[in-house]
Amino acid sequence: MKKALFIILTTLSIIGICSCSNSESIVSSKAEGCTPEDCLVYTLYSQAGIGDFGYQDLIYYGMNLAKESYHFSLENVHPSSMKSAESYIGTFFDETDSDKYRQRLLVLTTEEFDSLFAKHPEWKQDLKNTILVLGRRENSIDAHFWDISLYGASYLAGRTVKDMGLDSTMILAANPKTQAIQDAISGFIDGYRKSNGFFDVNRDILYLEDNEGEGFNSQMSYFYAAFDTTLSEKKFIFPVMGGSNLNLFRYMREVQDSLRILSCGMDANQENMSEGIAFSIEKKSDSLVMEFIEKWATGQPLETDFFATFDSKFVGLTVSKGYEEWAPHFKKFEDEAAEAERKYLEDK
Amino acid sequence: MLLFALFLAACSNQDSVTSGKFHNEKQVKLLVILPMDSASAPHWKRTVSWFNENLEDAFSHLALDSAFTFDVEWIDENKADMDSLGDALTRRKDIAAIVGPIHSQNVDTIAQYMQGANRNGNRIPLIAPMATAAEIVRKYANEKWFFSLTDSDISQSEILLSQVIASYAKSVSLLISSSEEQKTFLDWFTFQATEFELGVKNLYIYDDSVQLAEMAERAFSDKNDFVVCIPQSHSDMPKILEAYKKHGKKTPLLFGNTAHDKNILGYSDVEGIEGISIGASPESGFDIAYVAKFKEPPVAGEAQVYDALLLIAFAQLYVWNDYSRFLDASLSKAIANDSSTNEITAWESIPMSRIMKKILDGENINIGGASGNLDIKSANEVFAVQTFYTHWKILNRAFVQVEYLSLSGTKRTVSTTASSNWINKIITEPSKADSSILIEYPPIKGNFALLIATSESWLNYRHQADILSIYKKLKSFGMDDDHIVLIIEDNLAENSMNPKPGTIIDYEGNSIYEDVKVDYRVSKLLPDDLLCILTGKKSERLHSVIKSDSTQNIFVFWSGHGMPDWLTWPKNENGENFTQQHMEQILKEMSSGKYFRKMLWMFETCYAGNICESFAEQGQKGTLCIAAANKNETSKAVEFNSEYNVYMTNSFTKNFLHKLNQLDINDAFSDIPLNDLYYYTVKNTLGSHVSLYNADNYGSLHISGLREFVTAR
Repeated sequence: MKKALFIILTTLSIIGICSCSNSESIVSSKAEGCTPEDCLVYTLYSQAGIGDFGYQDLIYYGMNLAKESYHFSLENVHPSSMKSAESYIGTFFDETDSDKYRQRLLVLTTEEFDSLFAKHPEWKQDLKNTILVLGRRENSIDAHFWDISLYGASYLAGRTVKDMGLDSTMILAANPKTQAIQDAISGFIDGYRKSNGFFDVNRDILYLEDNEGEGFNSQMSYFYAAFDTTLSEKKFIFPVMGGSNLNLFRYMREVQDSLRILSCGMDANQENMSEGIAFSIEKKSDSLVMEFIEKWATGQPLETDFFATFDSKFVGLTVSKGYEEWAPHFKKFEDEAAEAERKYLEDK
Repeated sequence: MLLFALFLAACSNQDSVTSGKFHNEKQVKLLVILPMDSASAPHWKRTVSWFNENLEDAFSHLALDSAFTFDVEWIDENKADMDSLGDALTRRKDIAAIVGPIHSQNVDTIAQYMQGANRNGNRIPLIAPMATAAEIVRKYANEKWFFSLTDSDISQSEILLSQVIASYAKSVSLLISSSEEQKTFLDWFTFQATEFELGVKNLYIYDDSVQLAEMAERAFSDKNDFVVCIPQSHSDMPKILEAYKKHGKKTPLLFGNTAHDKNILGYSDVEGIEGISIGASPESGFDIAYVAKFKEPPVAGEAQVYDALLLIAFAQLYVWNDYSRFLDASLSKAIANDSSTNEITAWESIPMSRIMKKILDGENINIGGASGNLDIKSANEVFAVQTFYTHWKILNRAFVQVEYLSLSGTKRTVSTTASSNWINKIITEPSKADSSILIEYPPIKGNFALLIATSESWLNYRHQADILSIYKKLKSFGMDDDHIVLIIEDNLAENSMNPKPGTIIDYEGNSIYEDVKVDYRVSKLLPDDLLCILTGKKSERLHSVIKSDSTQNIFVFWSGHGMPDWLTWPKNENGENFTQQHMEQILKEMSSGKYFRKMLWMFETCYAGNICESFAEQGQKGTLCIAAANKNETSKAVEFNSEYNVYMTNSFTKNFLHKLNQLDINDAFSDIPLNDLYYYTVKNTLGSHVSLYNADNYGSLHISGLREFVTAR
């Protein structure tokens, strides 16, 4: 049933940087193939860093897989602050005229570094220097923006959770500013309400931090405190906190026998993290990265803006062992979730 | 290039295998001693091969026409006779360095031989990837050619117990092999469990396979809350798993590092078991990149083996860059990370080349490896500062990572105290816990300190200097002279041996003699006077005394000499020294007179344990004693200064000062928990066993810290 669906963001026409379409490409790489001496991929990970068993790790995994296949030099950079990220990005821009490599690709794994482009307003991609941002376009910089929407999968999660009789839920989110988080939250709530679930957005969402890029790295003590007071009465927790999800899962492991809280894995299949993880929503960033690199390394056209949705190969929903009875419910609402996502994105 | 030519001349005489990328490509010979069974060997070999691949890439990025890679001679640790091997190695001239063995006892055997194998002033460096027995630290702590890339089992024991705490178990039992290899667990497990306020219910210790079956049977048939299991090797596992299955797998069970062995995946009833093993740093990405490349996760210790090669490669570059002719000295240089420079996670090829360039340019470096920061110098120049542990499960006959753990916690790991702090918080709430398990104290209203150095001669400079360093620190923390009684002979500044008359410096050269108010010259006091001073009995002779009550804490630091039956006091008319009887009398009278809320005594003397046993024997509530050495051993002087011709400090005191300096008085949350102080001094004090007395009658050492003793109130 699933097939790739590429949505060219309508926002492009508003931003007005180019009038590209799915079949067009503003960058055309040479088709000579890569060697470590010819091609460099320079990947900047979020400040929270890898080791999250989720989104960042998947990108890192995809990059390393791609390196095995396409034989480029790979530099993985883990900035500890915005300042060091700025320095790394500056290095990339400073060396655009260098002859050291035939092709260079800068990959930003989140939109949190977008603002750093402000210092390079004249930047234009060319045959030699390419930028990929794994996130949503919010400005007019000359770069490829590739992203995966989790609205549809989250809608299916909310729809099914309520359908399984779980009538007291809570969303734990990293921050209210990151667009990908808001998409997932909207999807979950819409699906939950579609199943006649009651969800109070003022009471049933907890944000760990206020600012974009934050909340993905919270302290374990937060979860001890939060569960002791707020969360322990809930039956299902929808987690959109990146690496902070690990602390939720740790807490669930510790108290699982007594509280029986359920939750879901996010971005990767995380069913091993706790027996209370009923299913996982998989955002296959590793495959997305592989797809881009394959095209970049072999000289194929590169879509400027690429947006993968629920019914693409880049999104998955896997039911955990022991929760097989959930599978038919997910199946029942799959088409509805895809349709809901289409409508959500159109309305935006 | 001249330097590079020199380097090539220093390389081994092995035939070179060139990749064709470099004009000159040589191989440096390493001896790698690891278990080469069919499950493990492919892992070690692929790690070495991967490292060589990355090293070659790194050289490519440097755009040099010369490079080296490692040529490895493999020794099967499971089959080789370690004595014969060690003996043979003493005669080998072609080996640049040794990596391995894995097992601590084997490391000890090889290291003993290498200790005697002096090659014109240098020794073959030995990097042990996973030697975790704490005694190895003591034995080779001063050897500049010996390095371990893993923290000792003291840390692993605490990590395991933190998981027990997280399960809300009330007590824990230990099923363990009696081998020397596991001795550290036996030495520390009970103490650490008590610190976590976990009862230790049973210790099941087995010598052989017959006892193993019997002990495993008991461990799972007795009603234990939780069992931690430290097998000798994977071959113990079938009997343990058989007993576990027989009793319905009901008891929560967690295995230590020795169970993380691919061989166990073939055993029956292995599904679902959990354990802790030594792993890579989560932030290094090593585990993920490994899976991307080899389609399966690494085994325990693989990141450490990779890092051993990384360090040797960097050291070899120092040799190349003419830092030293010798690899052992260069290794010390490579691990002396400069924390003022940005850490570079250097196990991948491009960042590896950045570090290599820095070395060649003579810049300082700060290396992050696959296993974490490779800063070894700041601990004790033997063991890695931080080790990451993997919490694993076996699912579908494969090891699956559940989380990463570390002692102190990082961005991606939970600290061992996170759970216990929370659970301690819960149990301190009257509605949720039995308060009788905590020792209660009245609110604190003030602090006093008594600092005493009991030696008089220039030769014992360190005793007075150390006391002055502590005095200066306490003053900087806001304690005034009305709350500190300072007893030193005060004859150093004007001593004829002092090369800088009028001054006294500490071992780092800092001046410590400004604004000092000495209350008594030690030679003017008698041992009995201490009781009067501590109980506020002022007299014409004793003008400075401590006027304290049950709301005030007292801190005493004693530096001097000791004998098996007494602590040495300056010559006096009674010929008296300070004995156990003096100590007992002080403890009795101060407790019965309620002269303190809590009292912490620290002794930097030889045989200090003899006096400190009084604390345990008396068992007075709120008294705690930490000794630099137990009752049978001497404590050790360190930091010899050839200009002053004396040792400048003692090992235990130096470590105490290191922790004291970490206390940030301006940060209300800064503290040095006493358990942290104890662990640190135990792990880093060379040549003696730091010992703790009367912890049972003091309360949690996690909660109580130095701050409540050494700051103004």
